[in-house]
Amino acid sequence: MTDLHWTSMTELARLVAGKQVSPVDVVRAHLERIATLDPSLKAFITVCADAAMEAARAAESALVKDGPAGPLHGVPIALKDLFNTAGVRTTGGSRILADSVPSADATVVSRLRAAGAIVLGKLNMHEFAYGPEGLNEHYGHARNPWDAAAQRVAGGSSSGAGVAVAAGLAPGALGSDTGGSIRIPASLCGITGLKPTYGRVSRAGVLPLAWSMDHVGPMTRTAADCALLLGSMAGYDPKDASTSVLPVPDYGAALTGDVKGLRVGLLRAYFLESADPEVASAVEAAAQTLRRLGAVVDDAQIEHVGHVPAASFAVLAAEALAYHAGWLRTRSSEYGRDVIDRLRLGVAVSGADYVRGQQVRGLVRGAVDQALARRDVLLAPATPIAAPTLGQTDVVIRGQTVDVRASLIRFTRPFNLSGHPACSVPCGMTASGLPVGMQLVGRPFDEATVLRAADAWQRATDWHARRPPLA
Amino acid sequence: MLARMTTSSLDDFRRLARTAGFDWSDQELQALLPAFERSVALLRSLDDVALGDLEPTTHYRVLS
Repeated sequence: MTDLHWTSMTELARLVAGKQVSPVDVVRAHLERIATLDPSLKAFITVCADAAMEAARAAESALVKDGPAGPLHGVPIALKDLFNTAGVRTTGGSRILADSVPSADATVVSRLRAAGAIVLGKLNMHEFAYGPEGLNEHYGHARNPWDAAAQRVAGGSSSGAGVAVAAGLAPGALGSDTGGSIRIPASLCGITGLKPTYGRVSRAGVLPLAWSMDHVGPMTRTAADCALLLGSMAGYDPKDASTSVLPVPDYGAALTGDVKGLRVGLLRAYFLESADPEVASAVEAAAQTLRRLGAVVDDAQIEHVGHVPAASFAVLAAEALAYHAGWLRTRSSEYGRDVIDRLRLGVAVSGADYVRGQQVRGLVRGAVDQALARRDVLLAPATPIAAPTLGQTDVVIRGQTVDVRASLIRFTRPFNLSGHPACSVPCGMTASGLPVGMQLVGRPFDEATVLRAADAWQRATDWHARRPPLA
Repeated sequence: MLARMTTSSLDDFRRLARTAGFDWSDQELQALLPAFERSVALLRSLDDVALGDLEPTTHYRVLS
């Protein structure tokens, strides 16, 4: 059998349900790996070792007595440290909430536990999810496992999730995504990350960054595992008024492995044309592979996408400032430097600016709908660059010097504004051995097609199966 | 509101901060001034978008 720490969630669930492996052994294997590697990788803020082992023993007993409780029976998972967990501190990666212990689980955590999942711990992140590098001066910077020696960033804000899943510390994780915080670390760490449609997954009990742009989603090593997790947590939640009443489909059943006739729009303007040539080449090659698999690929564009940086700044900066205003007045010294600076810039946004940003949001949403009117998915790089080094502020792309932060969020943020589902999938490696991610974007609430395309891609390629050079 | 303002200054930044209830020092504001000016310029680019009578959108939700 493959090492348990490299076994997929889908396979672990099958092995546990078939009583071929004990949840105790599965959880122990991951905790041992965390103990060995996490002191240098810094993926976790809190490891729930005792609680996880206790839950594993209970899962083993329940399995013998009653059979599997749900599709994730005995399967471990880790949570970005902004999901409320009853009795376990939820820091948001901050000093301000360092000792904050919620009394109840977030809705998604409750649903995953009900499906049988076992929580290994709480994951590192950019403080209050406000940064695409995934840095954290309070709990240490999570290190990208693909080049830990060179100290490259993992991408954020769900940096610990990217690292933990890529390094085999957890088979899957929950992340959140306001401007790319699931897809950026997925791209930089070489894993699969899905930002579902806005309204598909509850945000109740999740620390907000910007309510109208926050999304919750799975981060795993395969699209099939994303499907497994999404199916276990999606759906209407009376505690989150933005959740949809649309029924949750069987995402696993959608994974046919077949993309014959799938209409794929390759986004060149704004996306491919402003990506690093190595990244662009990998995505072009992916488009060719999809063609060989039977997909119909043509060039596509999203009108008005150039307005996304301004509109998303107006919305995000205003909402983030509103959430943090109280602490900014009373506890400002406890914020990290970069986060407090970003929050303070929110005062530049007037009420009229905010509304105009929301108007532009409607324009962009309509443009994405238009690009998908005759297509099933859109294809673009997930990030313009592979993982930069810690402290790197600029990067040269096609002869132009650009800001690293602005670059990292450039391709992901349009779909936070529009709300469309988008999945980052490994699609190549740079010459220096760093992962490259591509992004598949679908119609609202059509995660099934996005996951079908991603899964078919992964059945035909092995980029997702590559492992970082760790001991 | 900085409607149609083409240049921004420390005074503007201080005024906006105080209006929002923040009493940040000039040293703190000065350090952020270049980023503030870039943010204002970015926001002003929204004024040129032809929006017609498009209503603001907050949530993507299918009501069914």
